[in-house]
Amino acid sequence: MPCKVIFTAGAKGGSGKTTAARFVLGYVHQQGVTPLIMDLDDESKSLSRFYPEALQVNIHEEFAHDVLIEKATSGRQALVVADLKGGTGHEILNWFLDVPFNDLRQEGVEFVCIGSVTSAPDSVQSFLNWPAALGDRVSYIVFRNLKDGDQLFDYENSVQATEFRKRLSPAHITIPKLSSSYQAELEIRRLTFFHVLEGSNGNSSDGQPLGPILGTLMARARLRSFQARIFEQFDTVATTLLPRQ
Amino acid sequence: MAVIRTMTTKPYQSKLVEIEVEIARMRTRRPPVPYRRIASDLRERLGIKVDPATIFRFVKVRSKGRRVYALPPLKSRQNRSDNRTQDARGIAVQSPLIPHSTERTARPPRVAAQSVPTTKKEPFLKTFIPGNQYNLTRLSPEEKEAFEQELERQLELDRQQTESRKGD
Repeated sequence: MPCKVIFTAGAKGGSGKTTAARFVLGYVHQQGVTPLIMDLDDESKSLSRFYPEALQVNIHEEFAHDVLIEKATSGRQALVVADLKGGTGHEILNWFLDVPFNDLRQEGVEFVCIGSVTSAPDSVQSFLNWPAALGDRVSYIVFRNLKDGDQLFDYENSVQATEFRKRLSPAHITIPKLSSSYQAELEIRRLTFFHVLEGSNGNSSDGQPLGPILGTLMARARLRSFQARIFEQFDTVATTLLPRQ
Repeated sequence: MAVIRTMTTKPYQSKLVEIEVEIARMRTRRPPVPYRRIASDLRERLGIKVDPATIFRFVKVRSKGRRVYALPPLKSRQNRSDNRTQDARGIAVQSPLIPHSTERTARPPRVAAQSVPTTKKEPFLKTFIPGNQYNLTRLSPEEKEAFEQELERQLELDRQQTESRKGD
């Protein structure tokens, strides 16, 4: 069975990698695909907070990341979504350099690298380490996360990011800024958009109370419209995101 | 002691450290380029505003007791140069792909303290120096347009070369 491995990349913490992964998961779920979710961020375990079913990996063990390849080649998974650790991406990048991409491609395993850049210059710098090392062996989807401002100057106007866009033709998804009160509520209550939008009677889809801010009709309408704007963009990169039939 | 404990910022480092190779080159010419001319050259070409006396002190503290102040031999510094290469005369120049920006980068490019692995082959991104320290080169809209055109031209050349290799 062919398998697609979607992984988040970028050494900088707080650039929106997990947010990007959450939107990807929301989209693929909506398309009727159930991926294997892997949380390789042992410090914040941020994806596991929203997806308790995520497989947590102890990355301190030697060759711990090999499990990613084992799952991808097991023949049981069509899609693996892995959230990698932020802050120190070097060990993981080192591990990726050992991956036999050509052999895996012949087995039907493809890799999609998800980057997230914000207006913080370091988010661009840290992400570019990945395409600089992995080149065209993986596909790229870059999330332009506007949470800290609309101007992504270093991504749009630097020599290095321009070269990246020209050479490796990444797909782009723009995440607009979400109301900070909604963002905070989602984080505190460990809810995804899916949990809120699929919930009913003031409760999320997994039975948690949505509270006075997220529980209102208008809040849900705004979240639905916000998500729709992102999912419309996903439709244009569906072939990159979804597993091959 | 309380003051020392509150000193959390990085130690001061001269902005001239980044262009040490270039200063050394100008000072080792015979006759050496005067400090005043070096200062005006740096201002015009790189947009670095610096007093001639500052350059003199910069050279003096690195002269290691030479009677006529001079920077140590170039060899020891060449591998510290950033994303610049050297032209035929050995003068540090930026990578041909990187246009000379009129807008200075937030921090000049430098070799990162913590290296990030790359493959041994030719780098996929020729203008990018792996590392976690910011070393991107910002462009004005005009520079960006010119750079994109140059990049397009190079990519087209690469494509043609690949196709001709396949044909062989």
